[in-house]
Amino acid sequence: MEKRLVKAVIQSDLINKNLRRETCGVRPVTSKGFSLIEVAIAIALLALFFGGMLGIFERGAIASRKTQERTVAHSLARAAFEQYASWSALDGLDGSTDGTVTNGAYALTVSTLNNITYTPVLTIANGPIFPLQLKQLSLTITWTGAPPFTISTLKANY
Amino acid sequence: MCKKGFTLLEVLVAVTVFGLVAAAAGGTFASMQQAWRKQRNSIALMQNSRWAMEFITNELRQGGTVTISGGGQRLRFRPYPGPPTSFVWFWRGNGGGLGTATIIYRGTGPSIAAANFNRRELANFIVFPNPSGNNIFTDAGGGLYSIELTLRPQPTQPVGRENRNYVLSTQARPRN
Repeated sequence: MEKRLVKAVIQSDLINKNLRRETCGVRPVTSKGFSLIEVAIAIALLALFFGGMLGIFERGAIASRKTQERTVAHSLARAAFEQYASWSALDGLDGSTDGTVTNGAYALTVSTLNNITYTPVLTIANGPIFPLQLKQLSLTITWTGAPPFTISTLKANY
Repeated sequence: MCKKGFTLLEVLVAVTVFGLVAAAAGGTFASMQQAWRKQRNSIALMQNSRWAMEFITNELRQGGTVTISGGGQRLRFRPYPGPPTSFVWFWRGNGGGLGTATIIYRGTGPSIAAANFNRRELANFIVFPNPSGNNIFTDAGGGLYSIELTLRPQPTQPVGRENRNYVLSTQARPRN
């Protein structure tokens, strides 16, 4: 029994030695690790994934440019409302001095800021109540490459 | 014969391939960083300009007795209610005793010197003169006052691809 065990051990030792000789002492060839094709595919997939994510920066730049433009439009719209904050200034729009404000659309002064031309149009309509004393002012600013920007307010004759 | 290690050719190919990959990754990283810097600058300009604009117009709207001085870089008005000798001042720093030239300040007092003593910074990145030739503060007539601000990420450096001007303009009507 013991003899057979010793024999087996010697045999396995021999097999190991043979194996080592065949592979120059490097570990025996097994199917461990990845093949070149697997690695290449993995890298390609990762590159596609991260390449797609780069689009975020492009979109971010576009969004911040749009925000800048809208900020300018907003401050111009505020300026226009300040200009027509008084009833007499509104009256001046149609050239009449009889104390009535004509309804309609008025092209206001065009301004060019940051190489973009902003075109404001002021629309005056009757207010929802007391149409003679209350007017609804809507200001729409248009510029190239963006949807029109509109804000509106009510103005009372007081 | 026992073949251990890599041949020179293998190492060369490996280094070249790795170098190409690293160069591509580095280029991408650089452009990402550039985009990030651009957006950070853009946001900083918008924050500063909007805050100053909103603050000045909101306060000016409630005030009166407006005076513009200092070559259109100083605005003084009387806040209501308040003593007639006390004023609110908005001014661009003069690069000396009245503050840094790229900053708009606010202070209160009978004189600019008194206001300078309690000044607060309102907006940075200010460039003057404005490219349009307008002053910062202008009496637009008819009781209106115009404000035009030009900002640049690096106001003391010349205009460039990474250093563009951002102009914001509005006007306010003091109610008193």
